[in-house]
Amino acid sequence: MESFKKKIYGVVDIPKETFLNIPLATIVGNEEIVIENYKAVIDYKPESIRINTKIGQVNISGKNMNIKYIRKDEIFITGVIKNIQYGS
Amino acid sequence: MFGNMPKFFRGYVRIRIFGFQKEKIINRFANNSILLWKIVLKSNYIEMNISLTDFWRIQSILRGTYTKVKVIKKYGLPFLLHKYKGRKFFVIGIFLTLIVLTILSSIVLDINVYGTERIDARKILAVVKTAGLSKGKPKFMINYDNVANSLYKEVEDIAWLNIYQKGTSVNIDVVETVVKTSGSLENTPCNIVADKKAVIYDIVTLSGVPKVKAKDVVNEGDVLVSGEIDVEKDGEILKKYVHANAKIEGKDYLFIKEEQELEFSKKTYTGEVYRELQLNLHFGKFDFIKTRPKDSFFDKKEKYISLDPFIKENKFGFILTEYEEYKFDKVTYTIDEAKKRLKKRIYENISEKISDDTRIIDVRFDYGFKEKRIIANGIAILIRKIGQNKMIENTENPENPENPENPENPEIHVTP
Repeated sequence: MESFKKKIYGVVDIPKETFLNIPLATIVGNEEIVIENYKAVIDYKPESIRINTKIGQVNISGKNMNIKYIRKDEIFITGVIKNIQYGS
Repeated sequence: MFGNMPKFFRGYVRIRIFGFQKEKIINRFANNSILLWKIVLKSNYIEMNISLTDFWRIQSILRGTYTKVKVIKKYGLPFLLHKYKGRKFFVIGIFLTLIVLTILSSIVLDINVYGTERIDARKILAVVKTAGLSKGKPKFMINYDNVANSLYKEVEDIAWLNIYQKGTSVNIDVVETVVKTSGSLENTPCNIVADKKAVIYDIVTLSGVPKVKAKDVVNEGDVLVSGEIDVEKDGEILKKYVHANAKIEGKDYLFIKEEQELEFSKKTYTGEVYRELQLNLHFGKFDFIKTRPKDSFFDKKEKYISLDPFIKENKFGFILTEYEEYKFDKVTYTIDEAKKRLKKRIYENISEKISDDTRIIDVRFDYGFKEKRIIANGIAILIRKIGQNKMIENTENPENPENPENPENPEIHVTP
């Protein structure tokens, strides 16, 4: 089913994150990050936030990390971001 | 600030959740489409903001998580309304204030006119008032197109205008038309004609043909300098028209008649000042304090204390009036004093009647006596500029009808 979706995506011109439901991260400088299409918050500490997504875990580490707001499909994280790691 | 307004109107609470599975709590809220913001993580609790409607749902969501919820602070309009529910007059006062503010901000409190130099701003204000724009009128009742059309129609010399609101003020930007300067008439063929009956005192012709000389008597409308010139070209006499220009001075007379009473009444202040207070309402005036005596003369000074800040005519307010008492003392001039005053007044009157470019060359008068008055009869001899340009109507010039001063014809012989 997933490969079928990928094939269709290759034909039609629509945003990948909408069609395949993969996470979309928007980073503003090193202080803000918005992740859409996330699944769950696994770990939440001031020095690191671990988020589960469809493509695996995303680990954001830094200083004074804080969730500014969270809703069903979007999470807004602020703080001094030092590292973003996929699949850890 | 304004992004929080919807949240404020809906109401929200800051809650503290005690428990160990903090991530689980956040995920449960998010999965149930509950918006959380300003999440602060501590060792044994988690703090967050949650809307009031979502707050009633969290009990069922948190079931089985072994957590304890504590409301720390309540924000928003629903809580404010609940708080002030018992204070009816306070709430009514707030609403009344809001209504008064809304009404005051929706009416025109000031009208400003910018950009006028020749046009009288008071005339513009009078026209806009008749067109429906006046102080104290609600903004939504004003038809600005109608006001602009009235201004274009009633006030001449408006080239362009812009009417716009700025807060409670209405500003009118005006651009005036350009005045047609005399420079544009410089090439127009014209004569100089006498504008008044006079005796020519001096004439210096700069262009055109002089028709009068010094000591000639001219009547109003007589041609003094002609713009029509006979030009000889190839043995043929042609008519040429120019803009006549000359410095012409004429002798003019001003008849004088002045009187001076030998006895007169002089105004002397007694030093007594009486102050009175009146209440002025739309339908009449009421005296509060009345102190001045009857059968006396007073100079009156009024000071208005308006109770209505929107009406400058002070139809509603207090009037504080100061009456300065004076009496008349009889004074008699000597003949020399009376003559001196009469002479001074004659020269002042002459100066007022003549223009700046007029010279007085002689003033003669005789004194006469009639009852208790001195009468002066005389004449002032003036030298003033006379003559005004008058266009020549038929200027058919076969050579060059467009430009009468054709530079292609350099040989011009003026026949005096």
